[in-house]
Amino acid sequence: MFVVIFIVAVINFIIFQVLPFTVMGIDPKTWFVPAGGTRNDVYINQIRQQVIQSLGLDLPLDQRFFQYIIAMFTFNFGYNVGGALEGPVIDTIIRFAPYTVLLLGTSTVISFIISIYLGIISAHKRGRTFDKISLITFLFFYAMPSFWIGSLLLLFFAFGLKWAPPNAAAYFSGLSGIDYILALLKALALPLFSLTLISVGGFYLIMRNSAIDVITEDYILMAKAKGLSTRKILFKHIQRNSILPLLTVFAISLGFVLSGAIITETIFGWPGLGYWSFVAIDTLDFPFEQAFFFIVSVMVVVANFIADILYGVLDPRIRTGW
Amino acid sequence: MPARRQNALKILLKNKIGVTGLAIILFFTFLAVFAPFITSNDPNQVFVANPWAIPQWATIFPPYQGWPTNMQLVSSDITSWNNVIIYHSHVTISTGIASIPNSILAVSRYSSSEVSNKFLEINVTLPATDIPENIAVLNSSTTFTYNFKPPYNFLFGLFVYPLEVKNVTDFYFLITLKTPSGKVYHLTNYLIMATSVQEVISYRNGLSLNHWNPVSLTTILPDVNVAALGSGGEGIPNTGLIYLNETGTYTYTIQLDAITSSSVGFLSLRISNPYLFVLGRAYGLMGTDFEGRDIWSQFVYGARISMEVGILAGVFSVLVGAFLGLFAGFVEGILSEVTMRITDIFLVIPFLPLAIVFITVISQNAFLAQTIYFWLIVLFVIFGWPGVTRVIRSQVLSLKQRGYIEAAKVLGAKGRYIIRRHLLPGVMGLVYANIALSVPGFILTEAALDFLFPGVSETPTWGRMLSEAFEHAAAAAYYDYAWWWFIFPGLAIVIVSLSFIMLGYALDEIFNPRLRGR
Repeated sequence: MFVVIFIVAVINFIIFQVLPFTVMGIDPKTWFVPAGGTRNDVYINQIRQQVIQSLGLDLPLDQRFFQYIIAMFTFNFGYNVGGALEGPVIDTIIRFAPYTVLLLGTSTVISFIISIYLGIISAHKRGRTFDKISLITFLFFYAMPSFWIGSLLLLFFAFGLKWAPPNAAAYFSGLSGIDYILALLKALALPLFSLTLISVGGFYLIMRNSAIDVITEDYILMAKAKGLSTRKILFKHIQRNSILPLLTVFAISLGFVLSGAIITETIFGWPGLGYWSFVAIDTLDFPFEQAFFFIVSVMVVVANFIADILYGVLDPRIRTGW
Repeated sequence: MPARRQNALKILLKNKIGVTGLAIILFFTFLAVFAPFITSNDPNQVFVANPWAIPQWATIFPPYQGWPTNMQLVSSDITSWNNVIIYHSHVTISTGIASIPNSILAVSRYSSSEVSNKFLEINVTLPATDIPENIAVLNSSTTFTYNFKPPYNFLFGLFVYPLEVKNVTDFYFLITLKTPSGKVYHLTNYLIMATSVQEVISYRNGLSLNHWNPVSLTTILPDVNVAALGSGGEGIPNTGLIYLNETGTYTYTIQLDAITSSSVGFLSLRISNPYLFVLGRAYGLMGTDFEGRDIWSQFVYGARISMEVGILAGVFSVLVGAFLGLFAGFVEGILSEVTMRITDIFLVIPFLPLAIVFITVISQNAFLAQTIYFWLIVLFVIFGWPGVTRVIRSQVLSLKQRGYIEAAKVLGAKGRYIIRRHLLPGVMGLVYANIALSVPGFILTEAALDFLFPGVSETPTWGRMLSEAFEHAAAAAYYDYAWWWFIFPGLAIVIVSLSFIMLGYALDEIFNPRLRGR
């Protein structure tokens, strides 16, 4: 796992430093000029100096590389530049990560519950009307672009019916106490709904497939023969055994889920890491961007690792070598 | 197995899902290839109809019944109008025939068959006055029947050819509209012309001698006295809603006025092709966007980028993935191990953030930015292969255990022979299926990138259309949520993605009979 993380860091270094500055020959001195600024501004020079130091661009490539690797593994990501965010990058990440965790966590839990429940029922009623309708519906959700459903929801519920604020961050900033929590929940509704819709499709399809596999197993026949109720078979025997692929797929697709979160957060102005990573691109805040990219990659690696372990814990057949 | 491969096409044609998917893909490919022949407008042409026009077919539904499409309300033949001389005994009029260049006539929106080559020639002698005096010279009027809901906006004007202007302070056209109920709206008046838009209509400020000059006005920009009427929408004064909000017979009048000077003046000019063009509130198959661009054109041209990027990225990434999968499956040992570890690393790299950074870097370079879609395909291929490699490798590993390959080996077959004769046919089905299954991901990602960075290219794409629609969501709420602008591009992405998934599953089923009955 650590080897993989190390290689991810190297790739990160190539993408953010070698590719733009060494291969494409972009001069950092001319690049890091925020929109509207002139190249002679004292302030701009200051920012430029910060970037160059923050990324270590004044050092030769080999020294820079070692400095970079050490910095990445000690979470010393440098300082934000560009003006949208200020202070050390690690502070802003710690500050905004909870928003992303809240959004992603809730939507994942909800879509897991929906997809597990409906996936099992679909598998049980395979080929019947219920299965066909839910299969078509969830396939549609699966193929739906996140920004499309996001804009439609925003259009109707925020601009049309005015049930929710069009910009989440602006809605609850400056509030505190119970007001803050209420505003936060109201602003959470649309991005949560949107993200749940786009992730539930894929989970449902996997759950249904896996449940169909399990249904044909001998022990299910055995359970039926014992005279257990359908309910018990579905939600005890089948559910426990068909849930495993969902975990692996979730771990593998965490990167995609986070990608979906970038778009969803940007559309609704939900101030999580995805939203700020998009802002960082606009303001050429490379220190933030490379930290975000590195953290996301590491999370995916770690999630895969945990999924592998969990797999063994949840499915004794794997442990005993069955 | 060869027999089954020969029959693959037959089986596919019997597979309902596969055929549906294939048909949809072929339909969108057709749109993409023949885009210039299917659409009548350039996708970036503004004001093909009024901004926020609904699709024309929607007018059969009650809320949109009677919404006007693009239409000319008056005759282009000025000689057939009711031309009344006001300044008697000093004015003579005659008619004639002239050809006006089409480039000048374009503002009238007359089609080449509607253009009239007849003109009216007016010769006026004006008296000398100490103080400049306004003299109404000629009244040209016509009537038309309007039976639709009011339009948001219309275009109006005429074409003027001044022959001689001697000792005339100025001349100009007063255009008025009389509604069926008798209200008279001054669409122009000299007061306004003297301030903001006079150069388009008055001689002194722009009409040139011995040329055909367009005198063109619209209700879109505040050419007319908007302040007196109040505005009708978000930033755009939709004053057409006020002027044409009755049904029945309207009278449209163009009056020529001249202003005298201290010497006896003489004015000679020709006028032709007057027009009053309603910008449709209903247009084409898919309506128009916030700038009045044809959404159908954008939609069809958008299919190009989506299909091109999706299919090319799908084909090449799967070929690369399949090659590496064959390799990793065939050569066992350390090489195979290394390939698979690299695959694992590429699998965990979050693609969208990477692509976002990539686009930012690329767009810093003007040359690279021009070929952005090529680089996007390259990026898709670089990061799209690992999943396929895994699938193909495990298929190869399982094939290698089969009896017939063992038998071939025992008979002394060489590696190359086994790959060509036994392994390749065994994995080709999977390769086809994987190409189809990988395309939707690329189409979705490309659209997402276009959504986030709409300025990346000049070509319209489905992602860019949705991005622009999203940007104007607040204004769209005033125009029935501009559902035609939001729904079609998004639906196209979903349908194309689904059709590739359907084709992929069908292919998977055909080449992998164990899956049948799923």
